[in-house]
Amino acid sequence: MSTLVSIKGVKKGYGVKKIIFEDLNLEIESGKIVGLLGPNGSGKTTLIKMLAGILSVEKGKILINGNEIGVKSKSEVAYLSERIYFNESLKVKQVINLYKDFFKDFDEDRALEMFKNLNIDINTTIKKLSKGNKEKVQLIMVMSRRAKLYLLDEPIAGVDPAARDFILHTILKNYDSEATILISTHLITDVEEILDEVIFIREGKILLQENADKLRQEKGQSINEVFREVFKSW
Amino acid sequence: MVGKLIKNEFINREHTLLLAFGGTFLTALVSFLFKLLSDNVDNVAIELLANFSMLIFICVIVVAAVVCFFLPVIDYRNRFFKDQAYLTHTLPVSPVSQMIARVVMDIFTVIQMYIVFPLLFVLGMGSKDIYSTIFDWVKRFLELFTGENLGNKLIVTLIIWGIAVVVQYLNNMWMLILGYTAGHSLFNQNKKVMSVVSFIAYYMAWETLLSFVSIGINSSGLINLENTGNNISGLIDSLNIYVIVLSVFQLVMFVVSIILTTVICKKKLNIE
Repeated sequence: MSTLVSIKGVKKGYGVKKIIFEDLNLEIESGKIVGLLGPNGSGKTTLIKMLAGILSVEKGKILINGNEIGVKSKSEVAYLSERIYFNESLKVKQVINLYKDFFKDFDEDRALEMFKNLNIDINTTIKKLSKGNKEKVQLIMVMSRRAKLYLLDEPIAGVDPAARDFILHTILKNYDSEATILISTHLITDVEEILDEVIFIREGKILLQENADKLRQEKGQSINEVFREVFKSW
Repeated sequence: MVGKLIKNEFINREHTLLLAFGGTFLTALVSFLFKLLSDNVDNVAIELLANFSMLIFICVIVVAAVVCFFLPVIDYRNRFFKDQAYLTHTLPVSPVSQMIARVVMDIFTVIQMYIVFPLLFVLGMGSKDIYSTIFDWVKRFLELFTGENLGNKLIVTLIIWGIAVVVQYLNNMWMLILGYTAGHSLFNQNKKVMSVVSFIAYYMAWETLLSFVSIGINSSGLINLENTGNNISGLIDSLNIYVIVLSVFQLVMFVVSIILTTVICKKKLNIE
């Protein structure tokens, strides 16, 4: 396995008073499902956004598959935001065409199959879909890409248990074993079974980066319990 | 990729434009039909309805024009800084390509407005001769005043000033866009206030430069506004030259605004 994501000496803040990352260093290998776990305000979303290229860094370097954040890295990264980012006046099929136009790794057949399984009419406008279905459309579009890095920001927050199962099932079913999925969440119990690696983050600092099974064996606890223990002491 | 971006811009923006044009067309049609009825039927109630529908049409066309006028800025804000920004900025395209696509679409939007609104105005007022009537009135007034036939000169003037208005519109739009981008990317707090401050600062800088350009034009002898006296033809020529030079300057500022916006988006993106 090679290093897919390399973050070195990254500094990021929102003004002088609010520094999120002072000197962030992190490496993530390819072919893993990685959980980025931390409480609210720990910097998970900021980290994901920096990797996605929608937040610039003040200092340091981020490389994705050897490329700095830019056109090349964005062609290899699939990003799922917690917000709905499609123009809601568009129809689902127009969104499909948009992805076909810009992402060479987009698998249209895979997307159409998933829409069919969910009974989502691709001639419907995004606006007319329920909130849950909008989120599913977004997830389907992201997971229909054969990207090298998937960034999923809180994919199961705010959804019902059945939808959570669907989301996690979709992620696993469409997961390319050579790609890396970075899932940020604070709902650890639901995702820990699928994780290969976990990263604990608090106040912009990486507290722990470890193989999930190894961590469970060493501690004799679930990831959720380890998480509670680690953050309780802080 | 620029072609695909232009296609994407078109799909995203035309929906709103067509709504504005469609709504205006409907009210124009109603106004036209009532006027037609009023011209052929001698009835006070119908005449009142015709006048009322024309009033509604004028209000609607003004609102639609204002919406279309600000659409590029509102669309930019939504696509580049609101929720849609999460998709816009993760597309594997360069900021330069995105801005080129936006400029092309802005120019296309203006051209559409230039063609559609005057046609709808003709329909709504119920008179296909309204523009020729206004033109003839101005032409006759000038002939009466100067004794000269200024028909061709007026047409040239209209074309020059028409292009100047388009250039000014694009320049103003991109000054707003630059102000918004600077406020939301370069500052972490009070972003709306800083957007306004950025716009005002940039606008004042531009106005100052414009003043120097105007002084330069006057000093250069290129135009001679003071000694035209009763020479209306000479006055029109001088004004046209003045407008052309200012338009070139506005075009330069328009390009500067685009470049600065692109650089900020490339280096200092800060989508929350």
